[in-house]
Formats: sequence, C-alpha cells, structure tokens
Amino acid sequence: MQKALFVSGKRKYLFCADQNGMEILQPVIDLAVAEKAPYEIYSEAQPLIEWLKKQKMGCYLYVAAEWAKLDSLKNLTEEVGFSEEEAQYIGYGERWVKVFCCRCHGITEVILQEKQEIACSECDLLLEVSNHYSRLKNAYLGYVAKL
Amino acid sequence: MQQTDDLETFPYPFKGEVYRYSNNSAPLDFPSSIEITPSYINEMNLKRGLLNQHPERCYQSLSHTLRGQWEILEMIMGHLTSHYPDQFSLDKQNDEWTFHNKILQEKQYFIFGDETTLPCEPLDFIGRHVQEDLIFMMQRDGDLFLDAGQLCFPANWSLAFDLGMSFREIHHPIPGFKEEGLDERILQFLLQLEAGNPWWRKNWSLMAGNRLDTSLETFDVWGKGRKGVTLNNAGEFVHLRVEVQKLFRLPRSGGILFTIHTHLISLEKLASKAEWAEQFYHILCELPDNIVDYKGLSLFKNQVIEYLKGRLESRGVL
Repeated sequence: MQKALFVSGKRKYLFCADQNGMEILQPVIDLAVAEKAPYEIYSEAQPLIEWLKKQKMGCYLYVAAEWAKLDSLKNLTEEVGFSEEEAQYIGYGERWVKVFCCRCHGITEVILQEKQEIACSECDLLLEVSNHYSRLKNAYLGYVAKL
Repeated sequence: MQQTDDLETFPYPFKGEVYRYSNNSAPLDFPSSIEITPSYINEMNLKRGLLNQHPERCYQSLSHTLRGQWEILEMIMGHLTSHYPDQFSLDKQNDEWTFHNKILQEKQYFIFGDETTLPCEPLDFIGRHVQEDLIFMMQRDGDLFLDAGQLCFPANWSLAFDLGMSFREIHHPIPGFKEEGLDERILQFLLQLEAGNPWWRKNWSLMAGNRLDTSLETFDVWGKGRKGVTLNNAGEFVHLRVEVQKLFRLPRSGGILFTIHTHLISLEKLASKAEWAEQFYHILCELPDNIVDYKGLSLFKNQVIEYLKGRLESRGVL
C-alpha cells in the first residue's frame, strides 16, 4: 500500500479522495492540522475542476483514489495547472500496468505485484517486471527473467 | 564476425586501481565526433544489415527532431571531410549538396533541409556512414530528452524503450546513480555544455563473446555466453568492451549530439600488456557488488580474475 508523505511549509493543503482514499490521507491531514496550516477537503458538491481552478498558487494537493481512476484524475489536475512538484497521487487496490517486452517490444497488461515474472503475451518470453518506466509508452520494462 | 581492436590503438579506460561511477568527462582536444578505424568496412556492413533487418530496434526518432537531425548531418559531414579528406568529400551548391563516401564508393545528391531527397531521415542516413552510434538529446524545461537515435551496438539497453525519456529516467536503472546525486551533477554538466567545446569520456564493460550488437532485444541469445566462461576459455572468449563517448552542443537546435564508438579487445590481448593486466586485476578484485551486478559480471567475474591472476603469476608479478 502506498503512503502519502507530508510536505511541510506549504501555504495551504488540498485533499481530494474517495472514502478509502481518505483513510490513506488521514495521517497527512492530521499533520497539516498539527502544523496549523490552512487546508480544504474536496466534497462532491461542486465539480472537481471548478474546485481546483479556484485554488491559489502555493497550494499543495493530495489525491488518493483507486489506481484505475488515478490516471484520469492526474490528467485533470495537470490540465488545471498543478505540476508534479505541487501534488502527490496515491493509488490503492488492483493496479493494471503495461509491460514492454525487451525482446519483441510487445505489450502485456498485468496486475502489478512485487518481484513479478510474467510471460510476454506476444513472444512468450518469461519477463521480470522492472521499475524502469517510459511515460511515452506508459509501460514498465520487462527484462529476460531466466537466461 | 570478429570485431576486435589492435593493442596500440585500443582506448584503454582505466586510471588507478579503484573504479566507481563518476563524471569522468574531459575536454575533447581533437574536436571530431567520429573516428574511422581499420574495421570501418566490416562495421558498416554489420550496421547496415542490422538497420535493414531490425529498423525499430536500431533507429527511432520523434517528428520534432528533423531540424536538429539536419544540423547533425551537417556537423558529421564536416568532420568526415575535414579529418578524412581522402575518404570523404562534400560538394555544396547552395542547398544542393553531393556527399561522396570514397571508401564505400557511394555518392548521394540531396537538397539540404528536404528529407524527401534522402533515402531515409538525415540522422539515419549519416549514421550509415560512420562507425559510431548517434544519440540526439534535445533540451527543454531545464532537462534533456532522448528524442532520436541510431543505435546498432548498444551495451544492453533499448533505444525503442528509452525514446522520449529524460536524462534521469534513462539512467534510473543504474545503482547508486540517483542516491549519490550523480544524476543531477551530470545533468547540470550536460546542460552547461557549450557549442564549440566538445567533451568526451570512456565507459567500459566485460562481454562474454565478441558481439558488437549487444542489444537488450537479443540479450536472451548473447547473455547465455556469460554462463559458458571458464578459466580455460576466458582469454579468448571474454572481451573488454569500451565505449568512446563524445558530446557536442548543437548551436542551432540547442540539443546535444552524443556519439558512441564501441571497441572490443580480447582478455588475452589485453593481458599481453602487463601493466594493463595488473591494473584491471586489482580493479576487478575491488569492484563493489552493485557495479558487478549492473555491468553483468556476476556470472563470470571470478573466472576472469583467476585468468588474470594466472597470467600475472606466470610473469612473476603476483
């Protein structure tokens, strides 16, 4: 399970999460409260994009959601103007990822696990899934698992 | 195909008796991005064969790189004709250029800046006339991105996978690179590289076999050689692989051309020079496990050390 890391000294903290996500963010919210920093928790009463747009420079955003929803949330916050340095994204649940085969360049989609070996869906080579990631391909590199 | 260098011209990479990852770049006194060696024709045949059979593995480019590619073609043609005037010539009539490779007996007429007048993209074209692999890094937002490259002789990495990555993303798999702050230091060094002041460095690894095309895509084939190294065959079978890497700032596009010339020498030939054998023996004995693992030496480092030890003992050095 990923954890949120508290980044202290920000002008204001923003928290956006579903019910399970709020449990993940709670320790960070507690730290913001302890620091007596201003904070705001998103409620679905207004569209997320409107809530994000009205925030001022210097805010720090936490987003926690199921992995399947996290990418689209990240795209939305980046469109509004939050950079990678101004936000943290925490996923939970099953995480489907693409694995790039080092031999045939084929893509295999799998649920991510630790120290995982999979068969390439195109050339059948046994691959060890690495943490080397390509944003262009949105995929992790799969190395030869056994020589 | 046998691809080994002569002892006299081999770019031996070591200083001292300890090796660590570092920014070991130095100013390039002879400002040429390329070097023609006696194995030119062999390597051109090998390169072109790989490019024809495995185009996606050996050549990648993003569409916004074309202007920079022309700048690279112009720079390399300039280096070829000024440093090797007997082998290469370039006739320029305004934008109408004719490039003549006299070694391969090939002539190409083209209009500078017009891709349709070349048989392939400019970087791909000029790469087919030099022994170097050519990597084009573009600079934006204070970072460098691998946006195009022709790579036939990689040291176990994939151009197709790394295309579009930032400098830090490319080097993510190197142990300790981030933790020791090396990625940031080297990136800052590269960002400050100036046009007209090229730099170079040497990088090394050990190879079980003598292939130049050690791509990640074929690791399942050539990587098996690592299991076959013995004390008896190490001298002939194992090769020291050295990459001469050069860095040139491109003044118009603001990008960086990174050329890689790969050299191989058998352990036997290397060990015939006593001071090299002794120095390399001490470096291997002292090499930390994470570097041994990353360089792929774990399966045969001990055999290589034993071989070098034997050669040194027979000379009474150890």
